[in-house]
Amino acid sequence: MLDFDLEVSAGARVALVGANGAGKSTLLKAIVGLVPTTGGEVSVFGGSFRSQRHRVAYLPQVGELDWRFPVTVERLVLTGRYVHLGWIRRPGRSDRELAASTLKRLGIEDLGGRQIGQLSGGQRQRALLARALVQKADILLLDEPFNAVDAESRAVMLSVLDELRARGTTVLMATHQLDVDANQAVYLSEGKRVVQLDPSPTHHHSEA
Amino acid sequence: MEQLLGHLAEPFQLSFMQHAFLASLLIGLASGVLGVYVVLRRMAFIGDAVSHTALPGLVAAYLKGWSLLGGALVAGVATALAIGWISRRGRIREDTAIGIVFTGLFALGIVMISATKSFRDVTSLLLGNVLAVTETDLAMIAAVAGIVCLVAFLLHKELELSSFDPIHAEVAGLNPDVARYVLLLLLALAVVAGIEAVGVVLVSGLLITPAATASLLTTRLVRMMALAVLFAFTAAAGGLYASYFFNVSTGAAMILTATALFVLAWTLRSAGRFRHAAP
Repeated sequence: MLDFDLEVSAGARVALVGANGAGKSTLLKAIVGLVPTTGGEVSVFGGSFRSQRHRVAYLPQVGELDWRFPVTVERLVLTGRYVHLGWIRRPGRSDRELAASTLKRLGIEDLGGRQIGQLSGGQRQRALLARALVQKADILLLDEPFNAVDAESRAVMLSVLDELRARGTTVLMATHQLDVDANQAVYLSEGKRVVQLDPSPTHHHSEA
Repeated sequence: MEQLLGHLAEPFQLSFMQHAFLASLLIGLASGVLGVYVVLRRMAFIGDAVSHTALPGLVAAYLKGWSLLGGALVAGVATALAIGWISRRGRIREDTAIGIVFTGLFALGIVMISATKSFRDVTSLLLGNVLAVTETDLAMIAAVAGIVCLVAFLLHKELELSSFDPIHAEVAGLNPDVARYVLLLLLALAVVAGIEAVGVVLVSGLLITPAATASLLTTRLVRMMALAVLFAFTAAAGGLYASYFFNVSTGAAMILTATALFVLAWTLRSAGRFRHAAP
């Protein structure tokens, strides 16, 4: 279904662009092992995703969570730390401090105690981005992070992504908007790469 | 006042009432905690299925003179695993898998009953009889309540995450299928303990109704569990009093108390919303 070959440079921001059904989401899901790959392999920092999962944060499409569930925004963000904690161990004070400062960075520190379903579309995406950030991963995979996002949320999220670029974090995001500033844009159609624009090739460090 | 208190305390001078009360509280504890997950994860049908499929286990244990709880436990766990296994890859939808396992095993229980032509204790299996709970049963119910609470505490983070965002659980390396099987096993345990109190037919009401009532009143998971346990306790006490003073079926009276609490919470909430909506 998906025929793909892509290497991504460390610190780059890559936009996966294409119509609905072009395979953007499927590609991201294949990287994190949510859909099986056939006749190919995904390598992350030269290893399997399973061995590197703590270095890869994945932001799902907003509709994939049960937003009616009785959980607060702060707790949702804390689940970004779970990959480091493993089974049974609970988030500690440093995890909670990180969650609080990240909520603040995204301008939703007042909403930490709200039930997640009470957030607007833009606030939900900001909360999901906060969760991806607290993981302190080297690669961020964002599936339609700007979907149903208001202008203010969009501006906050973009400035956070700029900080990430300055720090060398690689961002690969699926989007159907063309106006997102990125180093590379990969156009997908029916699961195949059509065009790749690569204005600033850097050394190949990570492959995804 | 003193007379009223004396009246309320009267039943508990009898040791079988003390046992029944203690058993009901322990069952309420387990079903309140788990019921919240059952309601939030839309597993109500599974709860009902696991309770009905316990029947062949109960009948077999009864015929062979084994522990009824043990027999029901084996059947309940087998059901939970069978449902999980059949629906594992999504080729058969989970509710369909439940329907198949549920009716098949319940029918097996009925066939076993009719083949033996010994209907003496069947009513107590179907409707429960907490007033006849033995000390061995009580110890087993206490163990069930202890296991349910311990696991729910230790795996709180995993059970919670896999309930509202199984995809993230999977990506984070906390396999949501493990959490699901754990919940199904705990559910089998709680249901089997609950059968002692309210019987095969009504036990899912003990899981679902108090938790559903609690879900109307709070948006915090742990508070919801605490409220569900409180409502299950109230239902248990209400049922025991009703059966003592009015000589009605204990299990049915417990479920009716739980239902009454739900109706009350529902009405209060609707009235509150109406007041909010009014200018």
